[in-house]
Order: sequence, then C-alpha cells, then structure tokens
Amino acid sequence: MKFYIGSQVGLEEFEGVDFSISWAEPPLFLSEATVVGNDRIAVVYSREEEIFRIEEFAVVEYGVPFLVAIGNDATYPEVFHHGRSRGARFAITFERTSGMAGLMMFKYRTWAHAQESGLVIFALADVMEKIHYGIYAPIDMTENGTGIIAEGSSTIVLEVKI
Amino acid sequence: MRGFLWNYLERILVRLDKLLDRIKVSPLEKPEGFRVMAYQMPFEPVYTVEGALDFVDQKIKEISKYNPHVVAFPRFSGNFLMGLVPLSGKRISQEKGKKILNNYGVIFRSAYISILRKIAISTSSVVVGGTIMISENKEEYYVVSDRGEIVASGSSKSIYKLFKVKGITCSYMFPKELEDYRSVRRFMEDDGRLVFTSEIFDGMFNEWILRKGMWARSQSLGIFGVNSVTFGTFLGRDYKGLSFVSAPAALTKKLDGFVVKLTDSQNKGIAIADLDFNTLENYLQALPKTYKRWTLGVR
Repeated sequence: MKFYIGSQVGLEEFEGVDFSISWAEPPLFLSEATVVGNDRIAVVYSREEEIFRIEEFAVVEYGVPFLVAIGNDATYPEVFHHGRSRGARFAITFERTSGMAGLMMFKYRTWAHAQESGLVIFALADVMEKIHYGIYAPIDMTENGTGIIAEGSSTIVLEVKI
Repeated sequence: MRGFLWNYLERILVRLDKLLDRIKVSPLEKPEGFRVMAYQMPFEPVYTVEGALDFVDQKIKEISKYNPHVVAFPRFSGNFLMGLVPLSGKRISQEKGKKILNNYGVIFRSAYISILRKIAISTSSVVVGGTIMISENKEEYYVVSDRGEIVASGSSKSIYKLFKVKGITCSYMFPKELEDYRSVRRFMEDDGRLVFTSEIFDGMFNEWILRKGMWARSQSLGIFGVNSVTFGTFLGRDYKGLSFVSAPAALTKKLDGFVVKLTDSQNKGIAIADLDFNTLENYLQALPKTYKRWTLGVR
C-alpha cells in the first residue's frame, strides 16, 4: 500500500496514494483515504466524504481494518493489542509531547508498541509545534532489521507491505 | 539415577558445602540509595571443588568492591558446576551436556543455592542467582536475600514471583514471559518497579534485537530493568548478549533508555547503576491512567 505522510500539499507524489496522513490541516483529498488528526480528534475521509471521527481510538474498516489512536490512548500497549485483536493491519497515531526527552519517548515507545503488537505503526507527534513522524514495524518486517521504516519531519511517500 | 557417579558427586558437593562454610563473612555497610549490579560473564565450567571456591571468592571480592544492594547473575550460572562430573571435558558438547543434565543436573541445585547464600551473606547483597538447568527441559531461578533466605524461586514454566528489596517490589522474569507486555503490566499493578532478566541470543544478534524485550518494556510501560547475560557455548549453542540496566528514555542521561549498557558482547564485564525510584514514581504519576478504563472492561 502506498502512504503519504506529511503536510497536505498538491503535488504529483499523491498519484496512486492509498492513504495520506497529516497533522491537523485542511485535507486536499488527493488520495483514496485521508486521515487528519491531532492529539484530540482524528477524522478519516474517503475522498471528500467524512466516514469516521475518532476521539480516543477505534478500529476503522476502509478496504483493510486499521487502528487510529490519539493522545494518551496512543501511548498504551493495550490499545495496539486491542487493535490487533480486532483485525487491524496497521495503526495511525497522533500525540503531543514536549522537549527532546518527549520526542525520544515518543520514538522508543512507539517502536516498542510495534514490536509488542506486530503492527506497522504510522505515528505523528507535535513536539513544540513541529510535527515529527515515525513509521515502525516488527524487526523481521524491516529490511535493515531495525524495526524503523522511516523517521523525520518532512513529507514522505512510501510503499509499505501490510 | 543413583549409582557410583551420583554418590561421588554427592560427596564432593558435601565437601564444597563444608569449605564454603569456612569462608569468613564480614557484613558490609550499604550506601544510600539503590545500587544494582549485573554480571556479564562467559559460561565457564569448573572442574574441581577448588575451582568452585575460587569462583565464589572472586565474586565476593568483586561484589564487595561495588557494594550493590542487589547483584544479578545470568542464565545458566548454576551450570558451571557441571564440570565437576569427571571426564566432562574442557568443552562440554551438546550431547554430553544433555546427558549430564538429565542424569545429574538436579544434584547441583542445592550446591548452587549454597553458593548463592554464601555470596549473599558475605556481601550483604540480595542475589538474583540467574538460572540453573536441572534437566534438558527444566530451568530454575533462585533469589536469595542478604540474610541467605530464598525469597523467590520458580521455573521457566511458572509465572513471576514478587520479592522486595529496600521496600521496592521486584521480580525475576524469563525472557519468554517478559516478551508479553501484559505480564509486566500485571507486575506493575502489583506495585512492581524493577524486573531482573537474562536475555541471551543464540542466533542473529544486533542492537535492535537486544531492545525487543526488557528495554522495550521499560519504554512502553515505564519500569526499571536489569539484564545480566552469559556468553559462550552452552549445550552446543553459542550465546551472546549485552548486560544493561534500562529505564524510560526520559529518565536516562543520554535519552537512550539505558542507565548503563556494556558494549562488548564477547567480553566479561559488570554493569552498575544507582536507581532513583522517586524519579520513576514521579514519572509514572505523570502518566495518565486511561488504559485502566478498558483493561477493566469499562469504556
């Protein structure tokens, strides 16, 4: 599946994208599904139609089932276990934290959740008004054996085997 | 299976026990705080009673030097006594090792506990004794208090047990149990704050594989962890690992989730850390407890 993570800008990179995931900004509806959220609410769109609104966490069915978790609920292994048990194939999370310590906790904790649950996790965090993302997967699902598919703060488009 | 060899081993282990009694004990005054010490050591069988006594003497000296409140030994620590079986050879092969374990493994259990007691009493430290294989399929662990009492024990098939050190609730967990975050969550609900384990690897090993167990639980749940490893060949398998003490990344100096971590998986070493449970408690208090809503079935 092809994912777009980052700011919603009208670029040709959107071509063929299944999911675009952004932190709280007006969606451009350039992908099949768009997930926009922050640490309080996340909305899933099918093209321009809002199909789910999530205030804690939920397993959403859109072609494949996936978990969306926001705020504190994105920090617990129980949430990912719940998602996995409901058939989720991947997870999308939005949380807010602060400082370098908060950023490292966000990265390491989410990495741990990916190992614990077996889910690929697309995680976004607002760290002092800068959006960071991390895409983590079980170690044996990543080619370099690190469990990290990508980390950074600029827009990325990538294919991930789910 | 009792026979000549069994009786012989019983005799030399009784002798070892008597010699252990002769080691002088002078209790140590402990420093403030909570110091843990984790061994990283090779699997090296001893072939004589004197060799076993040297091992004990060396450990008492090392532990006394660092004077921890708890010292952790790695997996298979108790099996270094297997070399006492005559003609076991310098390198115990897989086949021979399994035969020794299945026929005589259990006889070493009490000698190993005596050794742990001696070390604990001599250093005034709680000793998390790592494990001893008493047969091909049975691995046991023992935790001995600074007064020489067994305060926790179990096998790879039992669930974790609690023990206290300076009022802190601790446990020993086998890597398999630790893999499941729910075991650690339950432990924390029982006020557990410190887990001891021994994660060793006989296949591919890298930094990320090392992080999957204890380290990951420290990050996802917020707990201190102590990993003590053995390396080298045991029962035909070549083990490696790194001893470390883990904590939530936010509580570690380098923000990497390691209070201390050894760096060379092929060399012996000692990981020492002073743990601040007040800071950990403040960290945990600051975390919201919303997971409880639905672990209790309420949403």
